[in-house]
Amino acid sequence: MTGGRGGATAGLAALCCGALTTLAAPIARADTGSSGAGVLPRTASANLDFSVTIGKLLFFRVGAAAYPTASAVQSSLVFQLTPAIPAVPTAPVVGNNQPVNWNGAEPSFAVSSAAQVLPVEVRSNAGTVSLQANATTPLSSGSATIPLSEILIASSDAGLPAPLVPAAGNGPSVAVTGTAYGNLVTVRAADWTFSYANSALRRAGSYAGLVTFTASTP
Amino acid sequence: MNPFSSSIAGRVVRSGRSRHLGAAVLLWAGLCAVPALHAAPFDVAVLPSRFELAGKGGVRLGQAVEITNMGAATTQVAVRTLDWSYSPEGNVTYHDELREGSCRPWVALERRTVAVPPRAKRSVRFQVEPPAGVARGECRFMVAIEGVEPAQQAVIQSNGASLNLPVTGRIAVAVYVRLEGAAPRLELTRVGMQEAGGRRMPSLTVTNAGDAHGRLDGSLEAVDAQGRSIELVPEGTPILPGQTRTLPLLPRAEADRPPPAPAYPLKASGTLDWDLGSFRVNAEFR
Repeated sequence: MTGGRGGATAGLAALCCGALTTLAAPIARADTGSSGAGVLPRTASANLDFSVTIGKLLFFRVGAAAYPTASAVQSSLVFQLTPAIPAVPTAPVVGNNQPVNWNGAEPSFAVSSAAQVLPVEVRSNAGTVSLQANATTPLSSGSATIPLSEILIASSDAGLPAPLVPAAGNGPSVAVTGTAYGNLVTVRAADWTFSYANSALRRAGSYAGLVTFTASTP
Repeated sequence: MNPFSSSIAGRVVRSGRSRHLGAAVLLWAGLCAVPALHAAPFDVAVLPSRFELAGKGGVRLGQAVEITNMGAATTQVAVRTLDWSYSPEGNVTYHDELREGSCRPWVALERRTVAVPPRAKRSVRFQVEPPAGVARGECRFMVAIEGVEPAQQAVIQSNGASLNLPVTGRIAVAVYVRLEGAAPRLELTRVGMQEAGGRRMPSLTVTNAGDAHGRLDGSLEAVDAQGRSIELVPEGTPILPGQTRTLPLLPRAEADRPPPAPAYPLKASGTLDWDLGSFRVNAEFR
């Protein structure tokens, strides 16, 4: 989603103005003119030249606090998984102490997620914005690790794609598509939905890691 | 796709029903002990987002990055330098370690961490001091402004296993210092169509034979097959010394309007500028 371009562009302008107060102050040069000779009525003129410098700005938001109505609310991505015994050869009966034949196959897990979405926003007037994910700390539980490439991200806006999370280290960068003036101005907001690839058997445990998303205008 | 469907416990314990259920109970207990980390959204703007400077050996350059916290809570950010590389395809890669020829040892940062109050700005100064007698060339590095606290906490809980994945944000400010008169020398080698993002678009291939990065600027006036006037703007990403890059020519969109989709053939002409020269382009894209 681009979040309403008209308002968004106005928002970027407001953001730039707020951030550029000191650097983008217009410079006015004084000019004078006089007329002391010639035929009446005499006229005098002076030019007023303006020079406005607009600095290159980059704004990056990760988390729930949409500009300009930022809040101190921090949201969490919480996923609850409910195990289910395969319904073969007998379907489980709802209720306590109900017998069920189980063929020994692994149970499946149904996911109920209240909030698995990471809101992000990029605003810039400095040309192409590059985004990249860094596997700062791998998912680990004691000696067991899960490569962070198991974490997949889908973006709600193709113009603000989520970078691929690498197994370790730095991942490849993606470019954010500009929204105005031939890619020079970018105002984009999107929701990144996280998922777990679940591609291999893992040891049980509490796994913790850290992913860092980097924005730059090289 | 099964979002964070961490069937970890279920797959590990496969030999018998009782062991399975017992493990699930034990692991569920462990799950509840996931520590809660403090989090603060990364809600930061930096100005400027890029420095393009000129310097000489033995002369210190001082600059400042202005960090604005757009959020409603104080944000703690860490400041450090990074090396980076840039591929001809336009992919940025950051390097924590010092790369060969890195000029980061010449850089001094005023502070390592900065606390920025809500809706407030703080400046971080840095200095670059190339040594006397430095060779002509370009010093390139990034100043990274990164959130200290997780911006968002992802907790994946299952019967016996959990994934705890905080995410945080970082802005990397590119710094270019042209030393001893280093300069780009861009050469236009090709004008044509290229495939990008599943569609064909006008493009330019440019080689930088100089010893500093260069960029294209300016625009071309074009008329498409339906007689509409379209302005084509080259992508303004850098062309590093020794690189050959193919850059798209993008239709310029006015504010609040989507870019026009040209109907081919598209006749374009005009002048594209770079730091020390310009290219005269007269082409038909089809």
